[in-house]
Amino acid sequence: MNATQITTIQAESARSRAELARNWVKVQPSLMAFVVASTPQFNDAEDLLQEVAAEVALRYDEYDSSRPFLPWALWIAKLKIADFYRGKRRDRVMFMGEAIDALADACSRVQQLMTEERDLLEYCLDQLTERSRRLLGLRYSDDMKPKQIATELGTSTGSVRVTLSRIRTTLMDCVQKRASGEANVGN
Amino acid sequence: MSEIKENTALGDIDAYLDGEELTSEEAQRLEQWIKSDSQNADQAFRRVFLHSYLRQRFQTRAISEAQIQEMRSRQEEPLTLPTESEIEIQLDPTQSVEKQKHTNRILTWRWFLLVGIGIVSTINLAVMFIRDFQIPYDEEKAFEAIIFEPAYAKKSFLMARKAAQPFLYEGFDYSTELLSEKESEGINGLEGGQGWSGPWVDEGPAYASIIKDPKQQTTGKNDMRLFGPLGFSDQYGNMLLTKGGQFRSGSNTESVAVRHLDLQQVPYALSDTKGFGADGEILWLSFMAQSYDNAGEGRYAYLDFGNEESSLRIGKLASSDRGNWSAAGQVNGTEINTASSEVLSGQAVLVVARILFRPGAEEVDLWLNPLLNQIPDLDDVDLRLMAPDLRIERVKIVSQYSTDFDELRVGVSFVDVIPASDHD
Repeated sequence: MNATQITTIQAESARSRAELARNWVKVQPSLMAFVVASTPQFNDAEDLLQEVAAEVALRYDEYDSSRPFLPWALWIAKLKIADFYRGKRRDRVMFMGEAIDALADACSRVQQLMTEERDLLEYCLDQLTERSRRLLGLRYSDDMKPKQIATELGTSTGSVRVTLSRIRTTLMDCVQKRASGEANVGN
Repeated sequence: MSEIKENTALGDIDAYLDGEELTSEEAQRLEQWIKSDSQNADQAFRRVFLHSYLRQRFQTRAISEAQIQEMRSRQEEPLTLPTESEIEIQLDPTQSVEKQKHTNRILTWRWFLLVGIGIVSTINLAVMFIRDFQIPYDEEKAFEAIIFEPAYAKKSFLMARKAAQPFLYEGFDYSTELLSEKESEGINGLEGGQGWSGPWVDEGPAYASIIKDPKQQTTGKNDMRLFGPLGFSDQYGNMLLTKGGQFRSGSNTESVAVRHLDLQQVPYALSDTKGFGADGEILWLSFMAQSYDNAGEGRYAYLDFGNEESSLRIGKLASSDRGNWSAAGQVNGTEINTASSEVLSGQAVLVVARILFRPGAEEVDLWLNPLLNQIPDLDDVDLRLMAPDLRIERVKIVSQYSTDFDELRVGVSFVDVIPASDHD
């Protein structure tokens, strides 16, 4: 191999790395959501996403860059999820078992939208009352389950569950209203 | 199964992602809701995305002024759940613009943190890529056999075998009393083994039966099964474990026995939305068989794995003139890609098959009478063929030439389907 060939390979490799990094940053939040759907323990999901990242890097040569990156990355995520459950236990994953492909399709459909809606979500989060935000903090920052939160607050698990659900629905409604409001402004 | 509304479905997703176990009915209803409409699937994914986003958002601990205030008040007063009216967000256009301006300042700082984390992750990914993966991925190398010391290899193999078991099994182990008391004809209603959703259905017109002692139940002096029940030992004396009787198909006229799998018992990794046979997975199966004699010329007796549209057939096949043990794909009733072995169908055979489910056609490798104390080598296959895209819903035993089958096992590894005795 001569010096020109080596330089060409190095340049190609650098291009490939840059392209991988760009693609990964774009799809990472959606992939994380997809992995969370299959492994509701956040710590497991984060470990699994690391494995997906490693596999994506390992197999990046196989990726056909003329096609969308997300479906290909989702396919790898599905293989890794299957490995995860095979390694850990053989139980069917509740609700994801049959719906995994439908959710993967949804992930591809709404990915662009979700990226745009993240700003709105941030705005809506700030509109919540302090108590609602603190409750979300217990769930997501302190990683407490509804039962633990209920014990901490001296209330019932059902009340915590319902309240958390309402806050999430409020956030989603707020994002949709803001999105349609902005669309109307644009019209 | 009753349909559910969006609120219930999203509540179920919340419960699931908050670490609660859904009942199987709730899970099925939710699956159905997601699959029934793409808008439902989108809503479900948005909800999951929200959980994932909130987790990442709160874990970054980007502290806004509002959160500093929250920390102060946390120290001052205990938290109580917000009331329903407190949860509502009132979108006031004027206030929101002003608030947005204020928020933008905070957002810049938050997004600076988030983007920083993104950059660090990307650099990590790039470093990983540069350090470890610059060598081109070589699939042949990746699947190259690892050579272990013989003693270590044997020990590992035996340890794996101890833990192994098929997820689908039928040993045709039915007591004489049960068979004599049974009122239905053929093997109708027999429901032994494991991994099945129901009993055998013997569709006739000829009926199959369970044979206990082939020596006493031969059908003529040329019957090659008169030497004894089906069994197998390899050249080193390792014996396949067997139980009870064996299946005998009808002769002259066709017998068709069908039994459906319980898809809930199939390992999750092997299933996808279309059923059992997810791409990228590997399945192993084994069974023993022996026919009345070696006759071919259109005679048939085979196991059929799949559904009515497409399946894999293994046995004595009409499309194999010589009548030797063969395998073929089946599409809409037609046998395709028939591969025939040199082993006569009058000889007892242990068939071990490995199916690699791939996008489109599946790769099927078969070994006849392999050694039991090691995983058979892909370079030593007796038959290899491409089968149509398989979704295995049932096993069907179809025959118009008297043939015995026994010890049907399906699993995810070789040791799952070859439970040999301990002295190998």
